[in-house]
Amino acid sequence: MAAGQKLYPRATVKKIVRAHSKRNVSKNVDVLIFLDYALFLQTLMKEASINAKQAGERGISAKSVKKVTEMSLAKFKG
Amino acid sequence: MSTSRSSRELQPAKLAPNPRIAGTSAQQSRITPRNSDSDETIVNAVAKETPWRTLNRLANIPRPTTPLRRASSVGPPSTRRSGRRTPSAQARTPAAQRTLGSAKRPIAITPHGRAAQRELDQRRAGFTPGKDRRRSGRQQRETPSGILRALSRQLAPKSLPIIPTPQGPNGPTRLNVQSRDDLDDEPDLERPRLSLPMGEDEDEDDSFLVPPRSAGLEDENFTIQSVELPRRAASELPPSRLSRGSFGSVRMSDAFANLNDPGMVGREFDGSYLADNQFPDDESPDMEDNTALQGENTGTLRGRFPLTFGRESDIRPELLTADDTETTFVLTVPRRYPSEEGQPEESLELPDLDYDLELGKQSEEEELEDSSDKKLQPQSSPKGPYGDVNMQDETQLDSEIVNEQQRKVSRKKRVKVSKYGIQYPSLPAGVVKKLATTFARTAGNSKAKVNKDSLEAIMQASDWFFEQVSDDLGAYARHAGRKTIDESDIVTLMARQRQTNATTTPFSLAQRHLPRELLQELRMVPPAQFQKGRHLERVVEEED
Repeated sequence: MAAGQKLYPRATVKKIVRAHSKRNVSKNVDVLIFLDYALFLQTLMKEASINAKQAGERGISAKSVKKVTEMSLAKFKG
Repeated sequence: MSTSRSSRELQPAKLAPNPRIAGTSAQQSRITPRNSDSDETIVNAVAKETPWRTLNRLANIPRPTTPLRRASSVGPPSTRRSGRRTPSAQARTPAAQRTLGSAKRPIAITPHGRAAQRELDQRRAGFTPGKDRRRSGRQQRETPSGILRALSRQLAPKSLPIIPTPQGPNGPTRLNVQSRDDLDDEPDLERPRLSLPMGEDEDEDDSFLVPPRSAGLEDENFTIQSVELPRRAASELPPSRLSRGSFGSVRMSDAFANLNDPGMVGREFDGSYLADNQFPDDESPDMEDNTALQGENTGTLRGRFPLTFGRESDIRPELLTADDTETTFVLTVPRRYPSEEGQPEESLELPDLDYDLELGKQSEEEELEDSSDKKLQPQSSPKGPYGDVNMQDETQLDSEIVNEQQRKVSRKKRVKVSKYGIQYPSLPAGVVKKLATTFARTAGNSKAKVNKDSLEAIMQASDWFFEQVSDDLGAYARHAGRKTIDESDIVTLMARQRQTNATTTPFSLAQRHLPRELLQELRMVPPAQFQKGRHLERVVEEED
């Protein structure tokens, strides 16, 4: 993965989670949350690429991503 | 014993000849059933000794010898029983009789025992009348119903049928007449009442249907507003879809807000328009306008009407008082549209006229101005200018709405509001794009590119994801009675997401997906508290 720069803005992730859950996020949890997000994104992209291939698209279109979004979100329902 | 033996011995002897004869007879009968007399005699002879009969005989033969059981215990009852039996009873199968006999009564050994049994039977008969009924017809006749029947038979010839009328009419006639009068009055009144709903639909339809109609009108407003939804969806499609999952973003309300700004124009305009609608004469123009609008309308046009319906009351009088004719409408529409001023005044309308003149409807407006009838013209002649203005305004409004929505979307990207009313940012697009491209490459095509649209979709998906995950985490923390989201929560979440299992720990995942510095952060976690501590140590070891 990206070496030099920071991978993601940790404060942003914390803010997002705090806003949605109205609870404070303890230290370093955001890393795991981001890890989970990375897993989700991996799943999403994998499914999207599969969908795009099935649809015969070149690259990944927004349509395939949207199609797959719901399913992958359901996968990551806690 | 001996007889049974003999019968058993006889059986094969008898059975043996039978099949032969039967076989021959069967063959002959098949060939010539009725022509040969000699065959018939043979057949009759055979018929007397059919296997069925032999079996019956065999069944009957052991009957006298059955005392096998009873012979040892008591001689006489068994003999008596056998003596009692009638040939018809013998025809029954022995097994059934045996069971019946045994079931019916155990064998009475001594005369005292028999007396006792009789007593018992009588008592049983007293308890269970059904038995008596079966056995004796007399007792059945003595049932209360039978007694009553007999009594009725005796009384029937003596008794005369009651004739109610002869004495009745003298005394109570007047009463009856009065009651009849009442009845006469009543049936006249009541019968029609009962029949009214059936027959007189028209009169009472009004009374009955008025409330529903009023409700229907209100409902119409609502329904039209609900019809508004497709309009929102059409104009707002991308944002609405994107915001579907997020409660916080509240795009529906935003949609309302969007409509409100440009809707001011349409609203007032439509308010007058609707006011016109309520006049009976305007139905046809309304229909035409509607059709015209529907012909060209986008979703927004439909949406406009409901809004106008909702708020028409405030605006209508102003328009009626303030503006003379259609021109007023024409004027008002453009005036507020560009200026977006809150309240119209007559003085302000003149510049609006100029504005419309600029638009190129000078001739029409001038004519309309010349014919200054306040109420009639808006009603009678709204069609031409109305429709045109409507279309122009609507189109303009559409474009503006779209623009505003786009603006809002862009604004939304920066600031979203969660369901708790807390603003939150979304992950920077660059980060998401980088991650997404790397994952897309690992997923399949090596040179996959994430274009702008798909990046937007991914961003939206990630927003939803964060919302969902945060909800879950918050729920876990709340369940645990904590006010902060802990590591245990996210670990639980990942386990529930089936991202981690016995073989894959969150730290192995982290090692796979996260850069080293973030792993360092994870390692900072106090180890002993959680089960994760082990994993942490292991990770450390692995890395060492």
